[in-house]
Amino acid sequence: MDTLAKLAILGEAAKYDVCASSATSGSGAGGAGRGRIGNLSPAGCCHSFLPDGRCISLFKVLLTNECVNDCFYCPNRSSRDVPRTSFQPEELAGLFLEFYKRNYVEGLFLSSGVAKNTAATMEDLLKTTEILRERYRFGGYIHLKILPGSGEDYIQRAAELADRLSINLEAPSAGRLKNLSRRKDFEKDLLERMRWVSKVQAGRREGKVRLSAGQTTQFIVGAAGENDAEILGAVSRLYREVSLKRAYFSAFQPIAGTPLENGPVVPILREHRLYQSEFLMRTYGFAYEEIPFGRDGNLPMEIDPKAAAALRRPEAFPVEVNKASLGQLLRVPGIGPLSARRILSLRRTYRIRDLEELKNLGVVTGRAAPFLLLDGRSKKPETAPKQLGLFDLSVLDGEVPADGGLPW
Amino acid sequence: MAAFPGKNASTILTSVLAAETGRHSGWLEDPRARRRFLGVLEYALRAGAPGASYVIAQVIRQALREGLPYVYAKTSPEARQVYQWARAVSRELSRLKGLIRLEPYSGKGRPILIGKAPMRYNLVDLVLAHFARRFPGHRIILDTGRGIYEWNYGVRLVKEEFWEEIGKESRGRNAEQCAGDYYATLWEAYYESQIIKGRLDISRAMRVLPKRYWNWIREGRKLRSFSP
Repeated sequence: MDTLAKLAILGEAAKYDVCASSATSGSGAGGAGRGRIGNLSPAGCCHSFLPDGRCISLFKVLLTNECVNDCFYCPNRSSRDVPRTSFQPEELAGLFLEFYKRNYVEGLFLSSGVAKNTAATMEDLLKTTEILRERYRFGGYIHLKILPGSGEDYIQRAAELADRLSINLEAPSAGRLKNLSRRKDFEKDLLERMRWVSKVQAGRREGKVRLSAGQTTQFIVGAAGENDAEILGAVSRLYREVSLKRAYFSAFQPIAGTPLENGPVVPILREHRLYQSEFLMRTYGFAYEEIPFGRDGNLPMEIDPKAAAALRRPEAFPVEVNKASLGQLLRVPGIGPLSARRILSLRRTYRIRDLEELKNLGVVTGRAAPFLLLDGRSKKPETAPKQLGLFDLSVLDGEVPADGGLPW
Repeated sequence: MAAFPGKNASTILTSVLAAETGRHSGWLEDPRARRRFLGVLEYALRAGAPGASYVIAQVIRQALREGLPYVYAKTSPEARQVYQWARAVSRELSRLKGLIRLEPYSGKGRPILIGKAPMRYNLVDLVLAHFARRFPGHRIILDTGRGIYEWNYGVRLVKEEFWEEIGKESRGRNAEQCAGDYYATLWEAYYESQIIKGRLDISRAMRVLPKRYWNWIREGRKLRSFSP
């Protein structure tokens, strides 16, 4: 099989893996610079966009789509009748470098099916990465997938070579994973490996470890019958226990020829709401308990989680822009971390008096105005806010004041 | 010098300027704040808008009188305008870094990478410096349609002899139009393989990558086939 045919198969086989960002400023051991080809981008860089608007920044490909596992959702599962092929490590490293030189991609996201056994495939993954780092002196971004059940020494070596490692949990708990795979042991094959990565990462400053972008994981949303509260609960624990950098979510799309081929198509909006909530926990400092799940444990679809969380805590609003703490500002819909910091900075020398000034600071005033006071007064935006639907209180399962209006 | 023991001329100048201009000009003595502010002004200047230098001078006065947060908050129309220019330039630079395709050539000496992109703003030096950092040991050439430049510890115009060296037919050719480049074909196949039909949302794609950039990239044809 020629490279073109292999690429079509192994690119397609990797398309459901998510790797949104390659932004990292750290270089770690053996990092960029020092005459190496490639550099790390502090702000991420999109090299193309797919017809659904997703950014292509990394060359995302499998080393092989041969797999001994039987995961019920997976297009590469062992019993599925699809063309199988593999790249040789030299072949894949060379191909990536040619793509990189032409500026098609920012870095490499390398994953694989489990061809014969985990150890043999991990060796091939590491060999590909070693060729890039050592023979081609590639100093740019590499995200390497750790296969379930990989040995500790492979994880150590991977951490020396890659900027980011990830192990796909796919489901939030052992019970849910059983609905997706018979062979994978949630605790032993996945969580224990994540702890090893965390341990290796903790010693980053002392040794040869690179791992400048930490470790991540991915969940398949809706395939195992789990709800959003279970997924975000798992993410919240992983932040604490294994220093997870971030979690990715992939809305389940049934694939013909798999046991879940008749499963329900999960709306992309559910995936979007999970990302919004994960951002609230990771970037806005929300506790898991503040995330506004409905009675079924899922996030409301009709309203974004931050607005829903604000409406659930009427006693916390409105906040006075000129006095509110960073935490209070970050809980106001329409105010992000950057605009909240700009407000704090400006307040030191200047008193903010109108919505126009807030708008200039990056605040979405249409959304934020109902939750704010400016010099003790509530101000309405000049134009009617588009987000009026935000006050559709029926979506909150009746957990709002009976008067149905805003509390001020 | 007795009045400012232990200080160099630059710090003395900064201190005098700060004392003369207003009570919120303390940022002048913070090198990071100065650098950040100058970065915004530099990007705004690169937009090349008529009257830019007058507006920028106004913003500098406001920063000295009212402090940097006043300017960062875009409280005045001048500050808003400067930020709009700077943001437009920054966005364009990010797209140039991501979307310019490079074509490898092996000439005499170092391997050569040639890119071609029309530029709205004067960003040749920043783009060349980016690629030079990225590909050490390579000669980076950039054809903007108005001139052909290379990075050699600074931007230089490329002389005619260069084209003799790599073959004249290369001149003016878009890297994406090189029929002989097998990797361009591979890239197109890869791009195609990443499309998930259940997620198509061409209006979002057009928002994040406006149509005018589709001509730059080979996969633009594929995007066009989905567009209404």
